[in-house]
Amino acid sequence: MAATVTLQVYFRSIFFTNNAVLRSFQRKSWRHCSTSVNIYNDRDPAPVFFSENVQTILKKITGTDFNKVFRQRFDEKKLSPPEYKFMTDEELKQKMKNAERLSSKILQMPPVLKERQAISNILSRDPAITGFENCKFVFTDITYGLPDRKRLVVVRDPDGTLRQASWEEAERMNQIYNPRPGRKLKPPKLFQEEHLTNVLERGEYEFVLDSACAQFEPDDPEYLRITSVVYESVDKKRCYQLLHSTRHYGPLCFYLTWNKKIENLLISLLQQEKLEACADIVRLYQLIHTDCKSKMINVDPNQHLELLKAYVEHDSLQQQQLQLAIQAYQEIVRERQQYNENVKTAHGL
Amino acid sequence: MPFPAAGGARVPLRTAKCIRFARHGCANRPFYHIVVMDKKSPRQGHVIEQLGTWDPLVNAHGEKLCSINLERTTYWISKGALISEGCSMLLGLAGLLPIHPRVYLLAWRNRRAAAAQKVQEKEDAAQVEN
Amino acid sequence: MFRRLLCTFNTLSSHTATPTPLLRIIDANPVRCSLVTSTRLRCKASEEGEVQEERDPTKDRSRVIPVETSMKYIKSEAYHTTYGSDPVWKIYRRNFKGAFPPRKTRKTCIRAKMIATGNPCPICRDEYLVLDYRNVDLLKQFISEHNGAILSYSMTNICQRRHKELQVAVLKARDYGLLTYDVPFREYEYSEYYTPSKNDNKLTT
Repeated sequence: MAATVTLQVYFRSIFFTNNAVLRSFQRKSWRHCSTSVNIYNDRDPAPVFFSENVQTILKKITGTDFNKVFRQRFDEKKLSPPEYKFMTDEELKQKMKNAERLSSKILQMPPVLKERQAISNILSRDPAITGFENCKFVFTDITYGLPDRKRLVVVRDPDGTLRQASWEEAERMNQIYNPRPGRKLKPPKLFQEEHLTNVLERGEYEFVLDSACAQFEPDDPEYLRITSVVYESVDKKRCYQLLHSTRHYGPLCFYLTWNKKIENLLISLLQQEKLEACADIVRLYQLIHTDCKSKMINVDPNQHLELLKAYVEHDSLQQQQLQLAIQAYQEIVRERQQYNENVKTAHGL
Repeated sequence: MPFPAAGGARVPLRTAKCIRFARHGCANRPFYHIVVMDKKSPRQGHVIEQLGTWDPLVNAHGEKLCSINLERTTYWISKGALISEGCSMLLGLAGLLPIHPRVYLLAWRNRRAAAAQKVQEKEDAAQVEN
Repeated sequence: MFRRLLCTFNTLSSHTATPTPLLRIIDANPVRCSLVTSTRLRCKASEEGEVQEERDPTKDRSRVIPVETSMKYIKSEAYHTTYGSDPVWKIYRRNFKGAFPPRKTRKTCIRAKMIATGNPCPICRDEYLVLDYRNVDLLKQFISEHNGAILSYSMTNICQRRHKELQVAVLKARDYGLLTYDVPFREYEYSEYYTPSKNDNKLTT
C-alpha cells in the first residue's frame, strides 16, 4: 500500500513539474514555476464547481462570521461614524436579513476554471500590405455595454495578417480603454516568485488572493499558478482558519479536494470539533471524485461520523493519522458527556 | 470656449457628414479622436459624435492603438457619412472596410525603397572593399 | 524677495573687481534681513572654499544613509529612547504666526544638502529616517490605522518634498507586497465564465 502511494506521488510530481517547466518556457522570464503545483489541467473543473450541490456545500462550509465579513477595510475610503439605534425585533430581523444578503454578495466565490486556450483566430491575410508599417495595429471595439471578455480586439500584423488579439493583448487593451479598479497595466511585482514567497511567509494569504482576483481573469494561467501556490502554502502551514468566512475558502477546499489532499484539513477541523464541516468535505469529495470507493457504501448522510469513517477506511491516504484524530475527537466528546452527567448527578437532577 | 470633445453638435439635415480625425494631444504629441462632423466644419469644430480614438505613436510593445465604436460607426456609414482618407485607411486595416488602395500603394513604395536601399548598401560595401 | 536681492547683489559683485562685503542690507527692516540670510551666508562661504570646515555637522545632510542602516536604526535602542512607541511625527510642532497654520507645510527643509530652517520636519530633522519602500516600519507610521490611507501632511507636518517621497514609497511598497491593503472588491458574473450545457445536468442530480 505504502509503495503504491509513494509511486503515485512520484508520478504526480513528475507530471506536474513537466507541466511547470513547459509553462515557464511559454511565459516571460520572471514567471518561473519552481514549486510543483497542481493546476486543473486534465479535467475541466467548471461543470463540477458550478453544479448546484457543490455550490451549496461550498457556501455552507465557507461560513458567515459577520465580524470577519464586515470587518474594517483598509481601502482608503472615508469613514463614517458608527450609528447606534433602538430597533424593534422586526426591524432587527430585517436588518439581519439585509446583512445576510450583503454578506452572500461579499462572499461570492471566484470561479474555478480550467486554464484557458490560447487564441489563434486568423481573420484574413493580405501579404500585399507588408512594408506599410513596421509595427502592429491594435483595434479595439469600444461599443457601449459589452462585457470585457466579449469585446472584440483585432491586431493587424506587419505582414498583413488580421487576427484576433491574444489574451494578454486583449486584457491590456481592456485596461487601457475600460479600466477596472484594482487592476494595473503591469501586474504588481508582488506576484514574482521571490516577493510572493516573502508575502506568504508573513501569512497575508487573503491579500494575495484578493489582488490576484483583481489583477487576473480566473482562467489566466498566472492566476491559477498564484492561487495554487497560496493554497499549497496554506495547506503546509495548516492555517485554514485565516481564510474561513472569506470568499476564498470555498475555492481552497475545492482545490484540496480536487487534488485529494484533504487529510490535513480534516484533522484540523476535527481538532476544532467541527464534525459537520468534515462531513461536508467528505461529501464534496464524493461529488468530485465520483468513482471513489466510499461512495459505493451506503451510509446514512446524516451520520457525520460514519461518513467520515467510511472515507478514512476506503479512500484516505493517511489512514492512521486520521483515525487517531477521530479517536481523540470521540474521547473529548465522551469526556464532556461524562462531565456533564457528573455535574447533573452532583446537582441531584 | 472649446467645444466638448465627446460631441453634442446639432445634426443638420441634408448636409454631408464626415467621419474624420480631430486632433487632440499637444505639440509633438499627436493624438486623434475619430469623430463624425459636418463636412464643412473646421477640424477642431463642434463634433456630432465621437466614434473612437487613434494614437499614431508606437507604444512600448511596438503597437499603434486605435479604438472604434463599431456599432455607431456602422450606423453612421449606413446613414451615408463620408469617410476621410486617413480614417478609411484605418478602418480598412481594422477589417471593417476593404483595404484602401493608398495602403497598397504606400506599402509597395516602402518595399521598393527598402530594396533600393539594400542594393545601395551592397554597392557601398563593394566599393569599400575595392 | 530676499533671494532676488541677493542675486542682484551677486551679479553686481561679479562685475566689479573690488572686493565687496558679503551682504549689503537693502531692506527697511534690518533684523528681518539678517535672520533670513544667515544660512545663505554660510553656504556662500563654503562655496568659496575658505571656511569649508564651518559646515555645521548637525545641519549637514550631504551624507547618504543606506536604507538598511535606517531599518536597523528603527529597531534599535537609540530610536526607542528618542521616540518611544509613538510615531516619529507625534512629538513635533510646527512654528507659525497667528492662530492658524498655513494650509501647506514648507516646500523643503533641506537646500543645498544643508538644513535650511530652524525647525526641520520630523523626517528631515533625523538623518537616519530614510523614506524607502523597504523601510516598512517607518512607512507604517504614516498610514492611517483606520482606513489604510496615507496621513495628510497637515497631520504629520512633514515637508512637501518628503510627503511626495512618502507617497512614492508607499505605492512601491504596496506593489512589492510589503504593505498590505484591501484591494477593491471584484464581483464576478458567473454566466461570463460558464454556461451549463445539457450534459452537465447529470452531475447535479
